[in-house]
Amino acid sequence: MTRLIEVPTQFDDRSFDQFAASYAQAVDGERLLFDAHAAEWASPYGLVGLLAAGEAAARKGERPLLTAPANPDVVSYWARAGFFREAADLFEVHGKVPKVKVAVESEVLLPVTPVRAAEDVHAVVSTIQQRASAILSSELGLDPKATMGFAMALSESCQNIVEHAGTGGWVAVQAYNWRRKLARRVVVIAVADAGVGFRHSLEPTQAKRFGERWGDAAALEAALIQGVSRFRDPGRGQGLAGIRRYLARWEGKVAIRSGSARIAIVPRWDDDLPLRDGLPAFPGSQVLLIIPEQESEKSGGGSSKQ
Amino acid sequence: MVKAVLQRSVSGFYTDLVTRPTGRAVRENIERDLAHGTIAVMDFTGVGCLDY
Repeated sequence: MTRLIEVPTQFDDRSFDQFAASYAQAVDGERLLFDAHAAEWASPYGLVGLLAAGEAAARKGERPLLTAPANPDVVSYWARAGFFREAADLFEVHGKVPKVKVAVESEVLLPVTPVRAAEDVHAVVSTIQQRASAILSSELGLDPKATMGFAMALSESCQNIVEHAGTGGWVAVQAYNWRRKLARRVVVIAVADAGVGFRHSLEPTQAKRFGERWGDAAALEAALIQGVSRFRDPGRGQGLAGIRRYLARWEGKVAIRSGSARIAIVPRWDDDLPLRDGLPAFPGSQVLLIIPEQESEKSGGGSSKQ
Repeated sequence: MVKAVLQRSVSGFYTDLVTRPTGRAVRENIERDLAHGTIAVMDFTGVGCLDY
C-alpha cells in the first residue's frame, strides 16, 4: 500500500509541522510517496528536511517515491541547490528533473551537502570560507570578522550530526530576502538528520534529573539553554552555546526541532514561539540558523522568495 | 606554528582547526613536542576557522 505525503507548496520551517503531521501518520510497511509536484518554493530547511524524511522512510521499508515539482523554474532551482543529487540515493524520483550543474551562484552559498564524518565538516567549512566571506560582508553588512564566527556556527551545527545523530545528515546554506516581518536579506544555515534525536541522545545522563518532565522539549532545553552534553568529560556542550553567542551578537535566530518539540532563540525581528511541544513527531534533528542583514542606511530591494 | 602542526597531524590539506578529531590530533602533537615546563607561544597565523 502506498501512502501519499504532500510536500507543502511553500516548504520551510513554518510549514514543516504540516509535513511532519502527514509523515507521522505513516505505518511500517507502507510505501511512501512524497508529492512535491505542487511545490512553489522550498527553503534550505525544507530541502534538507525532505531528505531526512526520505532516509527515515527508506529505513522503515521500501525505498520511498518522490514526485518532483512540476513547475520548471522550481525544479530547476531544487536541482541547482543540489537537492536531486542527494535525493537520487534515497528516493525513486518521478517527474522531469533537469540535468543542471549544482549552483555556484551567489544565493546558494552551499548546495545541499551530505555530512557523515569529520572530513565532510572540514570540506563544508573550507567551501564556505571561500565563497561566503564576500557575500556576508557586502550583502549582509556583516563585519568581515563576523564571517569567521559564521564558519564556526556552521562547523558546530554540522558536527552535531557526526557526534550525536548516529547516522549521516545534510547541510545547506542560502541567502535570500526574508519578507516575513523583517524585510531584509538573511543567510540561512539548515542542518537535518534522521538520527536518534536529542531526547534519545541525552536520556541516559539527563532523564533522571528531569523526572516526569523528561521528553523532547526538556532535552532541547537541556542542550540549547543549559549547554548539557551527553558526554561527561569537561569542555563538552560548547558547540550550541557558541552558536547562541554568535547569533546573539548579530541578532540572529536559532531553532531546533527534534521529535515532537521545537525550541528557538527568537530575536526581536521574528514572531516565532520559544518552545513548542506536542508537535507531530519527526525523527532526528533539524536545525535552523538565520543571520540577518545588519541595519544600515542601505535601501531594500530585490526579489523575494517568501 | 599551529598551522604546521595541523597539517602534519591530519591527512588532507586542512587550514581550519575544526572538529573534535582534528583538535585532538593537534593537541596530542603539541603535547608530544613540548618539553615539560616549557612556555609555549601558540601562533595561529594561517589557521582559518577555529571552532569550539
